[in-house]
Amino acid sequence: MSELLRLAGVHVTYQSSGRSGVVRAVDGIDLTVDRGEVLALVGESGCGKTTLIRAIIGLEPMTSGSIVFDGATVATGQRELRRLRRRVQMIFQDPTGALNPRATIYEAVAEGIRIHGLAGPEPELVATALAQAGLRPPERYMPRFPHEVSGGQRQRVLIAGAMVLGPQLLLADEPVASLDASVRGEILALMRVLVDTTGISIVAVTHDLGLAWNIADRIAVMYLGRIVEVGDAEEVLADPLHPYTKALLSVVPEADRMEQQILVGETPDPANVPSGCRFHPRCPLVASGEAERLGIIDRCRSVDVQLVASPGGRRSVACHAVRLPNDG
Amino acid sequence: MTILELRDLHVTYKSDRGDVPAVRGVDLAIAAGETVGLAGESGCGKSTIAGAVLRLLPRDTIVGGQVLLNGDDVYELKPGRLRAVRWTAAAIVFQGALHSLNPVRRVGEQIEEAIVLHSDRGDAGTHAVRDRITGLLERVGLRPDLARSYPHQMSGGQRQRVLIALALACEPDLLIADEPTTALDVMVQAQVLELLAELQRDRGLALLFITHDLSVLSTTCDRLAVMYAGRVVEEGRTVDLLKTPQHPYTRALARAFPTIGDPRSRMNPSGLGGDPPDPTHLPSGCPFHPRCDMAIEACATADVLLRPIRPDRAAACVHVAVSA
Amino acid sequence: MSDVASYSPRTAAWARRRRSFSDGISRLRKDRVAMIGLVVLVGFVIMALIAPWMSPRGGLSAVDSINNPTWHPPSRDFPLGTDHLGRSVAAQFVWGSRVSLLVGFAATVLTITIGSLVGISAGFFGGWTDAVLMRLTDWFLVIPFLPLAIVLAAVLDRSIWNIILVIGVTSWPSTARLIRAQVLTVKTRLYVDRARALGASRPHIVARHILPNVAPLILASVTLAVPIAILTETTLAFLGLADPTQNSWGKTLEEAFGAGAIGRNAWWYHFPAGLGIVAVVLAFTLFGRGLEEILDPRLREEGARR
Repeated sequence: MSELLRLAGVHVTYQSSGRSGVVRAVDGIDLTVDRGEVLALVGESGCGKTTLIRAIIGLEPMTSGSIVFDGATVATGQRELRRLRRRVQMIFQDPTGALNPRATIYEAVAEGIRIHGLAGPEPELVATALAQAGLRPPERYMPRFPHEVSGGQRQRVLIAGAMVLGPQLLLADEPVASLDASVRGEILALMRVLVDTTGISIVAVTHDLGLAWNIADRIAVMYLGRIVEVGDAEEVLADPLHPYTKALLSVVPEADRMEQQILVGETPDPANVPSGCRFHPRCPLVASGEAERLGIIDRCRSVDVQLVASPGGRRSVACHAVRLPNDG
Repeated sequence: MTILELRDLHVTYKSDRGDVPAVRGVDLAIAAGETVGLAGESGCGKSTIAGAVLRLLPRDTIVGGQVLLNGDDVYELKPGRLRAVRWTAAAIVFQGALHSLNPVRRVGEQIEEAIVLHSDRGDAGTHAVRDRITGLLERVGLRPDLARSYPHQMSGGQRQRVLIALALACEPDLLIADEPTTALDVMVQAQVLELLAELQRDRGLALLFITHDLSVLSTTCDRLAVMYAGRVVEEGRTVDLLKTPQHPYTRALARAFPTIGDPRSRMNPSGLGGDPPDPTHLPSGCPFHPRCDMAIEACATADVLLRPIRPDRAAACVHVAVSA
Repeated sequence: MSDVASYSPRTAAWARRRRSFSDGISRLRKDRVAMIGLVVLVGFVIMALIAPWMSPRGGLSAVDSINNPTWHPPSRDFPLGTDHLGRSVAAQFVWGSRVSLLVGFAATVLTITIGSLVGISAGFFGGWTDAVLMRLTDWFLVIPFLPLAIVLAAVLDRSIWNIILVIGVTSWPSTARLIRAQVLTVKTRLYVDRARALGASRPHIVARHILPNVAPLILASVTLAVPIAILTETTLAFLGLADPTQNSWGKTLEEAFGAGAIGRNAWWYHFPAGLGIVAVVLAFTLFGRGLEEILDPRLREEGARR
């Protein structure tokens, strides 16, 4: 597989309005996405995962760092962004809010075609995209309004509106979080089919590890603006190395095979990043005294930890306590 | 001791498009100290049941059957008694905590109001009430000084805890939790679930837990009832029901959230095709038959009610053999 | 069933617009109060349009009325009586409606145009544009309206168009604020984000997403701006700042007051103009309230979601 997207040192910071200082929403991300790959970007709310994918498509201004898409560095001018947005598309957590209530489904899907002046008969392009997204027969859906169809169908409309442009990368922000359990699997299956039939890549932001197990090739776990663990989905889920990943996995309902490790306290605040390893105030290794026993507690508290790759490069972890196995 | 009992509950909403039968004959009982989960898609009638128990439905709604709270029929109560029953006998925690709290009043004042309005525990501002607020906040795992905060100054998880504290203000026998964790993050969801389980254990609370997410119910509930199109289509002990679902709908719901590590669901998300039925135009026969992968000819014409399989277990499907 | 290739979005869009228009009409029909407002309004507009045929302009001239009795109560010849110069009050009433309505509508067009432009640009572009435009708006808002209008009307030539201009430039700020607020909420909607992610330019977003969702509010504020403009015109005319060549209801009131109609108990002189103003203003408010209910996206979307 060849590389489609490479993020290097991506930072997104805001000037916080209330308190002093800056909000480091995304705080140095290096990440690659291959062609035809589904990457699940996992973490709690406030960890910067949504900000990161919004930065990829230029909806949030990047403070520093670089994005290389399909071999070329992405520039931030209006025209370049517009060209990029034909090849990178996005779907949203709340499909109801993402559709203009005054526009029909036809118009919602045709909007991208019109913006980019795509060649070809518009009704047929729209119909093909709707059918591809599982809204069949398409002509039944075209004249309807968003409020006249179900939540799952609205998400399909968003997918059709993105896919009609023939993008190479689809960014999905919590694509099934607002949907009913019964619809969830259908939408995920659709996303997987799109990858397998069109070769598109998907970056799916989620807090749902089940989603990763269902459709993702790789997983990147984010905590407070950084990636703390990344690797093949099956490996990370079967054998999580970072204590944060372990905790996340342990609280998935139904996971009766491990003892729950419920982290105390609230989701951390990106305006106030702790010193040392940013996870240490909530880290079970620190709380249980394990870190002290390993003799790394001082480093946990004072030394910022970097993502270290395994020799084979398939797995990376950012934890003072973890020695990566040699994966050849 | 049975706290809540629904007997053949029917609820029909009035709308411009005609009558909307939201609940079509539900029997359900919850004993003290028991947690019962009510699962189903949006529109299946599960939240209507929550409203029906506390009589929170629109005025022109037609309610049939009986709702017995501690043996009293809620729909026979005089207005004064009804007010007393709400909150002291049964309280409710909604999803979306931000909308359920008054944004311009301090959290402590809102809890105080609940205490003073619904019980004779004393007047506002007294020591007894203040101690009670402190106790409640500690009980739900919040620092007592948060009583001075406004809802917007708190996180989603904290607000959900405040709602639980509000619901507990008058020590109800029954707590109804309507999608209490849907808007929350995984870790916070785990915290709230743990809190609910703890309260239920310590106080012998009866808990009715309503959600679309079977996996959440799996860790918290003793018994489950799965609803479809206004009826319970399967019920039983949680473990039993999830291990061997008898109704095809339950099976689809159970599969929707994968067990991580289960090779059958790896790269194979599973859902349920088709749309939830429109309550004003329910399909003929078994309402689930248009979406069912096991439907036979008879399903299109013959409606199926709950069939007992063994004690504590029933399902509404033609494929279920009726036990003797 | 329609074939995909023959699906025409334009036809579908028009069919839909027709449908929602007739939907709105039928809903308006059910609103009795709004219908009463509408009927009264239409009546006045028709009267204003056919004024030249209803009563000759000569009825307004003191010279032409020199042979008429003065202070004559309503009679067969003079349905609303005559004034102190023997002029027909009925003619003044009919012609006055023309001026009042013209000023009302024209000043509203001006108010809404300025208000919408300022509100939409401030809300959509934000930052510096917003800061400058909003300070300007605040500045206009805090100036006591009547003195400014009086000064402007006094400095400028006393023509009907200047009256319109005065009302227009003094009453846009509240409209601008209202529309800016709506633009700000629409701007944060997720569908605007989606349009950006699709690669939409700013003009596209304004035309396709902001305007359609602000338009109902603009229309609703029109129905509220018209009565205000009419009342303002009355005020200015009553203060003697009207166009001396044009008869408006306000001017009738001023002349009646000046001629001592109240002391003489000549109710027929000032009552028609006063009642006309009240009727038109009330009709607009009633109709506007009904229209707002139909157009308000919040009420409608809520209803649609149920």
